[in-house]
Amino acid sequence: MQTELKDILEKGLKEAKEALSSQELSDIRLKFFGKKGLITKHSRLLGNLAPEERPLFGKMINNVRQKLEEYLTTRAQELQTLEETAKLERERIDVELPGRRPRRGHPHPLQLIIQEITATFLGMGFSVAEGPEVELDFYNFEALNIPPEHPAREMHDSLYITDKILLRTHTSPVQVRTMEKIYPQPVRIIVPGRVYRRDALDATHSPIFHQIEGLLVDKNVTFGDLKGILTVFAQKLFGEERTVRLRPSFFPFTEPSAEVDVSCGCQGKGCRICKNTGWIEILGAGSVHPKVLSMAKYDPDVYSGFAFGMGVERIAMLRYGISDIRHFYENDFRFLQQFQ
Amino acid sequence: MRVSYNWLREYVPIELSPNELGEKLTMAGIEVEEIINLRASYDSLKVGKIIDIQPHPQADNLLICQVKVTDGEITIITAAKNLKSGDKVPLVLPGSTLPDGREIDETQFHGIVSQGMLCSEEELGLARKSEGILVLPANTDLTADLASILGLDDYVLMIELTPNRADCYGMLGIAREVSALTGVNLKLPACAVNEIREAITNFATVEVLDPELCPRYAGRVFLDVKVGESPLWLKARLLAAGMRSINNLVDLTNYVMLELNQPLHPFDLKQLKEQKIIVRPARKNEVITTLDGEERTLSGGQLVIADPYHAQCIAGVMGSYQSEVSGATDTVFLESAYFLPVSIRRTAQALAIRSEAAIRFGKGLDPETVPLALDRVAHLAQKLQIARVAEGIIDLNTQPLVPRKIWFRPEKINALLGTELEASYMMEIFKRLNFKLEEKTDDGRHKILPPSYRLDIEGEADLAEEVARIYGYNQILATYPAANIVGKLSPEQEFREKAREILLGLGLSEIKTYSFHGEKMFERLNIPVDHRLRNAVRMKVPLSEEGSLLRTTLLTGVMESLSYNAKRNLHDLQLFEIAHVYHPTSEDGLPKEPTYLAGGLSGKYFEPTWSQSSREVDFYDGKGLLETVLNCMRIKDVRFRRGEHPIMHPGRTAFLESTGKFLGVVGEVHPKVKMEFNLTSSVVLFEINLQQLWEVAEKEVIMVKPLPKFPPILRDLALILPEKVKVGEIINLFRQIGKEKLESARLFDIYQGDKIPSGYRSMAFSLIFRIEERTLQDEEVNSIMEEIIKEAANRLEAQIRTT
Repeated sequence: MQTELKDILEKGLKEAKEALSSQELSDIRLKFFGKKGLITKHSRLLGNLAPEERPLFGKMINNVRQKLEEYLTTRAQELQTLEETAKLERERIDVELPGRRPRRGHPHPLQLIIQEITATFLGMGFSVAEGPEVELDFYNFEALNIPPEHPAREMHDSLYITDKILLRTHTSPVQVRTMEKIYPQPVRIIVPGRVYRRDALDATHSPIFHQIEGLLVDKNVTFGDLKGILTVFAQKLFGEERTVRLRPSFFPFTEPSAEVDVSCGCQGKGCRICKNTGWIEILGAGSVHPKVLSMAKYDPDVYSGFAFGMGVERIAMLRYGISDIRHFYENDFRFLQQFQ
Repeated sequence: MRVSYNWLREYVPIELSPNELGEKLTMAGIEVEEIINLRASYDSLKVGKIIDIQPHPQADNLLICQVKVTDGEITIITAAKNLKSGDKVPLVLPGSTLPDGREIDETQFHGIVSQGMLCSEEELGLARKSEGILVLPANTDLTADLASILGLDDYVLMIELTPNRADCYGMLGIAREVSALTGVNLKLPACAVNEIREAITNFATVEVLDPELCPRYAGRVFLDVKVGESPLWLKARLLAAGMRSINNLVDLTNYVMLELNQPLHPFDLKQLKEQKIIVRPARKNEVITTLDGEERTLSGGQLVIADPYHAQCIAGVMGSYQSEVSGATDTVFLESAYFLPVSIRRTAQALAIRSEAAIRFGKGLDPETVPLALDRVAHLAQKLQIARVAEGIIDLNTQPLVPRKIWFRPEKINALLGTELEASYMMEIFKRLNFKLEEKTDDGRHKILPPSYRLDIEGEADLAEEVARIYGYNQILATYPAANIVGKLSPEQEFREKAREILLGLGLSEIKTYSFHGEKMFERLNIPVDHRLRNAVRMKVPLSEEGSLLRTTLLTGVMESLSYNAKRNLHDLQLFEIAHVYHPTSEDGLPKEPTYLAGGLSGKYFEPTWSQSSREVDFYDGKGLLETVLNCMRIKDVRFRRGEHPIMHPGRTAFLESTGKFLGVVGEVHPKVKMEFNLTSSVVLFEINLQQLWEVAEKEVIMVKPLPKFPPILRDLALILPEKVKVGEIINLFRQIGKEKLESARLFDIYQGDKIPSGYRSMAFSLIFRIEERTLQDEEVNSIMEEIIKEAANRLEAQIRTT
């Protein structure tokens, strides 16, 4: 019996070792441990033995059972690991094939610029004001210190609807409308919007373009404050390393008036963008003209303020390296697609 | 405006280089856009000496010149008749260019090669017209620098003036600025005149009939005038300023105009009847032939300068042919005047004449310069020995200027600028700018009088700008206003931004299109003549047909964008725009400008890939998109019902409503419109009134409902219904019967075909039953389902579909 048991163990270990799948292994387990299994059979024979022999043979059978079971368990784990690996291998796919992409829209570059500028000014306490695009001559010109026949009207070649109504030539009328509405509260607004000029369409002119206007009116506002706010703005938009310079200029509704330049990315080396001057003109600005304040009821001896205005297309063209203004309105998808 | 650097230095002998000067002017508000090196245009010119002249054997009108140049001898053919052996002349060799940019090549003239070209004054840019070749002084060396000889060793500053600085249109104006900026003293032009003993009134009389349009009119009379050619220095000055020489007298008046910014007009006095000058408004339909040869009919009211019979000049705009100074002129009346700027602008605009004089008068001039300019011309004419000057000036100054006075409050200027400048420093600036300070009044305050030419200085803010300008804008420190307000978007603005974000997230790209279009667009969009969409805001004088009216729908832009892309073979697009449309109100009221949201889907809705086929978009893609958008925008009770829109397919269009309000439209494009725009793929369009949408949107803060505690019971139900029964009707029936126990009902399948009788369709619904308080029993739901089936059969002729 001892030899038999030894053979059974060797046979079991051998078969288990040779088993190639979990299924085969469980068949082997059945063959040895099942109701009619070889080991089970021997266990039953134990009863036929003399009582004094039983402990010894019982121990032997247990030993064999234990060894075989241990090995079967180990082998089962081995096989399972192998099978899992093989399954994963079978499930392999070509990860370099293109994915199924949910579609996503592209923002318009002008809107990106408007949003960025708006965010900057919201952070500095400005709110967004809006006004009509079809505007009264009064708000577009007269209330901004541009009376009829004023030469400055020539700077704005306008599209009229009637003698008294026109397409606004700038976003500045919203300055006056806002002041009228919230007098005598302090004003801190920006005004993004469409404006219109009698300009034929070419690479740098469009009869429609966008402006962003800014206005701050309060007590004790200085020209230095204008410089401070615009420096923060320009550095936010173009980079912290840029500097801002102001040049005297003329707008009928500001005095003193300034053109605002930001230093060019070429760092003064001179390039095509700054026409070798080292400076890029980005906006017009100035202290609100006392006549404009008075017309909106703000007493210029108590209140002061500043206003500024910039062309969104121009800034977008500088920012994204766009050389033709027509791109903004053609909506060629190959153009739009480039914005995220 | 062109400013000669050399000429400027005659008034302010500065040491600054042209670039340094340009920088200084720009930073003081006189923007120098470009600096042109004049000499560069003359670098390729050489000096040659004529050695021999022979007639051309084959051509009578040509001459063959042997010319000595620095490195040899060349042959040049010319037609000019004014040359003789020994003359020194300017020339251009083959491969070089003339000052106007024309390139010169070797050219054959009847078999003889010309190895260059001899230059006339016209070709050198010195004269408008010239005959013959320019002969240089006899002592000119062959190696001499032609630019220096011609007085063109100069730089021109190209200046872009702002409209408030009309005073700087003269050289003297710029010189005054430079003097104020640098502290270098100003040298005023000499004006001394040696008059003869005979008074001007013996030669001419002047009468001003409209002093309002002509507040000041002055003149001088020049006798024994020798009209001829100008000296080279004068021609060079005019050239640098962008003008051409005509004759010495006209050149002088132009020179003084450029110098003092006072246009002058010389009349041939003998051509004026009775030597009488009358300044009056034009009569209706009065005719004048201007010196450009055009016969012009005046509408009446424009100011003219006339003799007792005829208008001789459109005041400030252009003179007449008849009284123009010519070679035969020997007596000249020189006019210097101040005309009302508005009147000159109107006249010049109406007649479409942009003469140098009209531009200057139109911008506003200094009335005090009127007599000075006459003296300056007289002085120069005498220096050139081309005329004698009658005694005295006629000067009708009917409305002398009242000097403006402005209170000077240094503390206010500092407060405006954010500076702490000393009052004495500000006064120094004003002194340099030629502003006068009045004596202190009793309370210690000053008044300031700006000079007569500074028409732009009106009040305290202007004084602040002058101080800032001269002190330097960039010396002012950047400060920050106290932040006492919170910046924010209004709820409606946030709503609009949200719509934009949602659409971008759903795969639509944002477009921007023009706000205007032409009448033709209505035809193209199939919009009937009497349709409300044609009720548009129209421009008085449109830019073009395509820009004659403001749009009433954003779908114009969407269609044009789709079409633009389709032409470039881009058919699968999803686009949207958020912008205003414009609806007229009353005749003189402003239009309404509601904000709309419109978009279009075209072609394939998904990108077809290796693993996924795609399909063309249809109505339900548009509708589904809007359903999601409206859900995100918190619009409740949205209803889509059949609607019609001229741009859209009559059978595939729906109106959107919420709480009884019209919100917009969605539909497939009308096949006619699609064809008109050359679109081949399918197109779904939508347009929503965002303002209206905002009004019906839920605005309350979201309050969360507790999650269900009890399990639902799910039932599917397939019904065969007559085609005319709408989904809404059957779902309503479910709700009526299921009441609070029916949690939701969803259509999940729809079928028409073989297995269904024609005129019917099968709809399959998935119903979910649940109540809040307890677990529902099967029996309860069973009885509801039975009731539903019974009522559906009764009311909607529904049968249960079993297969």
